[in-house]
Amino acid sequence: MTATDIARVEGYTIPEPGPALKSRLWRLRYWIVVALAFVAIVALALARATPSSSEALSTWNPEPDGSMAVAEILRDQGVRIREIGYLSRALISDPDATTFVITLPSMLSDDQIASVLEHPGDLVFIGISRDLLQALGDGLSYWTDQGYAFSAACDDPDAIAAEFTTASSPRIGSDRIGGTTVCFQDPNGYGTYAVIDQYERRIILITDPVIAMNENLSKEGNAALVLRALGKHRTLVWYSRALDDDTTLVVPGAPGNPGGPPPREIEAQPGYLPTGTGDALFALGLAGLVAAFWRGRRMGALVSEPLPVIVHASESARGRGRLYRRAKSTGRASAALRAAAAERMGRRLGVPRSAEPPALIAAVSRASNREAAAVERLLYGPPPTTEPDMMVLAKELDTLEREVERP
Amino acid sequence: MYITGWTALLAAFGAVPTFLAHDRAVAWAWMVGVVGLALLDALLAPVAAGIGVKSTVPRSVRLGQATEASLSIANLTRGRLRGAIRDAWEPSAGAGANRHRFDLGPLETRKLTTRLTPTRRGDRHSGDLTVRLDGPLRLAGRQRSIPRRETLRVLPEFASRRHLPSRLALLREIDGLASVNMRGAGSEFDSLREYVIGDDVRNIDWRATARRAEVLVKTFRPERDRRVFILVDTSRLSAGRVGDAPRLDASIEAALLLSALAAHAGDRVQVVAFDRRERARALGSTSPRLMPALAEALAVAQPNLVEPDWPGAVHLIQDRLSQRALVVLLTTIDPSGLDNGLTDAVASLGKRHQVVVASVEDPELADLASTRGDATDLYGAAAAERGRLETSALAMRMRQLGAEVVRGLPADLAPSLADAYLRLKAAGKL
Repeated sequence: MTATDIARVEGYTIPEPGPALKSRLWRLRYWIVVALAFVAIVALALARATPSSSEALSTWNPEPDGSMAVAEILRDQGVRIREIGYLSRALISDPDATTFVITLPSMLSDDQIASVLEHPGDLVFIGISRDLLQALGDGLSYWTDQGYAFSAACDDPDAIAAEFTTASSPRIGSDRIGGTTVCFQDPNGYGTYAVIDQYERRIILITDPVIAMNENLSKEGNAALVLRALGKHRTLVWYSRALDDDTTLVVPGAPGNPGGPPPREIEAQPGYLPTGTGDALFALGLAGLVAAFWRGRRMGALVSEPLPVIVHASESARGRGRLYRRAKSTGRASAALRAAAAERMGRRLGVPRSAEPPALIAAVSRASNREAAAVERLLYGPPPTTEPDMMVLAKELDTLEREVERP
Repeated sequence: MYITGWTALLAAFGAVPTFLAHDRAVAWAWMVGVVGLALLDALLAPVAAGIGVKSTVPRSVRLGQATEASLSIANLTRGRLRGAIRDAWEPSAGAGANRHRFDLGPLETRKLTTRLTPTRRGDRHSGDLTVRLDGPLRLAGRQRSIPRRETLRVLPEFASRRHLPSRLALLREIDGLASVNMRGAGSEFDSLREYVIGDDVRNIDWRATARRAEVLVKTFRPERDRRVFILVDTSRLSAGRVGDAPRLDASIEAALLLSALAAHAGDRVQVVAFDRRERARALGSTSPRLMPALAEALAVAQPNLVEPDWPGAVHLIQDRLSQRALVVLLTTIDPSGLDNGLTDAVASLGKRHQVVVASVEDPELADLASTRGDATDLYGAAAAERGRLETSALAMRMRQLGAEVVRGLPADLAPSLADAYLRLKAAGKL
């Protein structure tokens, strides 16, 4: 005999083997199908969903005024693009190998423009403003004119490659011969594309932002000009201003915000915490799920118990009291109080229950040294009509009872 | 399958490599690893058939006392068994520490005990036994429940038994043991014996003396072998809570004390729990036989939310009793029950039997009646007073019908009823 058989003989219960894996799976088949369908739907949704934006000149905006086309082409060419909405998040660690694109600089404050111009690497502005030109100095001037397209007519290879663009306004003029090259100039000398070479970095100004938009990219030489201007380096940081951005660019390794006031408030942004904190929290979150399963797995079923209903025996008296109150039945309530007091005093003084009122009144007045008339008024007088009267009566009855008890 | 806290801890440690690598993929990979390890551990855990369980539960326990349910577990494998077992019980069974960890060597057996302190009268049932067997890594294991339904009968507390010695002393005073030839009501002729100086000369049996050479006196003893019929009302009104327990519990206490007393006095006791039909019954004439049966029968009596069938109760009592008896109705005199037939029942039973109506009073009613706060309190006080007056009137009516009425708070009812019984016995009204 095996140990199991002996145990059976001795009266031990041995757990039945659970259902086989196959039948357990079969029992759970509907749930498995549901779970698989759910996973499939989520996976499909994740695969199809791309981050989308409706900001003009955003790299995630597929609308006509977006710049997703530019970004996609650059990505295909192996350029890594990171779009930011806050200047403080630029965090460009390698300025020499990064192109920093500023869209619509007209929306930036002077401080922000100043901080951007401190950036040691290549800069591309899509769109210009008078403030920007002023900050750049070097005799640049601003001109608005709905004009025509002119040929590159300069010695910048990118502009020559583009030949023509659909850019028209605003335009940029320069009185300097040396560092600044202005292309696509009109007869007055104002152009829609300028390149400023400064020491180690190059600043490119594309005056008319429309040529970087999806709807115009394929026209004329727009694509050639934009892609060549942006595709100089393997990394591209694309700034498309968030509505509430008032941060300034922080250049790693340099004292922050030179020349400008500090940001109005310090924002708690992940950049201030050690890198990996978020990921560690994520890992802890996953561990939390495991802990939930640990605590949530019940050790056997709950045991139910039919419990009796709890009804307080005094509930009917309380209900009756509420009825009296709702009806403001002071007469009925006082009659009950009087009868009870009379009964108690009668028992104490040995007056039989069946005795007539005068007998009780006489006994009570003797015991309490009160006038018979006063006792009669208290015990058999007219019923009070208001609640204050009833309360006075109750008080007097209590006093009378005490007097009878301790004469 | 279940996992232990170690698995959760191990999963939490995944935050460290994730932090260092600052990559969520590490977190996922760690998680997959931990879950895989736990699954493996659960697979490697001993099979549930490797353990044998035997549960032994005492048949009954008195309410307020503790008892122990024992579990024998046996390791039927040649390996070590580590894990835990849960001895599940209804909440009212008051199972304290009912989760036991065990660590059994090969073929080892062990006895575990769960302390039960029931908080409610009646049958308390157990739940399933659930066994957890840890895997070798103690990260996870197998869990299996073994269906089981044991029953522990929780007998009435019989707290009133502390009143029994004093009442038995009173009984002995009435009884022949104290005064042998006390003549009068409530005693019956017992035997003849020789006259000794001091005996009441009125008890001399002249007829017997004439036949014998010596003077003989008659001896008497209190009436014995009377019938006592106790009816415990389990209807609607018995469900009302008085203090912490339903009225029925106070009635049961009173029934137990009276039965014990009457059985000692040599009367034949019959107890019935009744509302619209008979719910429990116990009878006997000697205390050792009657009391356990009575406790068993009344243990499972529960209040039923139905109107009592007093005519039915009268039929039942008249069927069961062939001679004059003491009929005790343990119920509630409730003013709202004016027409529920209790008075009629008392009237018709009173023609042949001595009826005692024992009613459980509510101490809350007295509190309510003496509350004097605002007008609302006063209305409540008036209602309580009105209720008490009506109850008194009803009790008076029953007394006029020849019944004895005993009213008492839950704690006082049992001794009051016992005293009433002794009074009736001394007066020879049984």
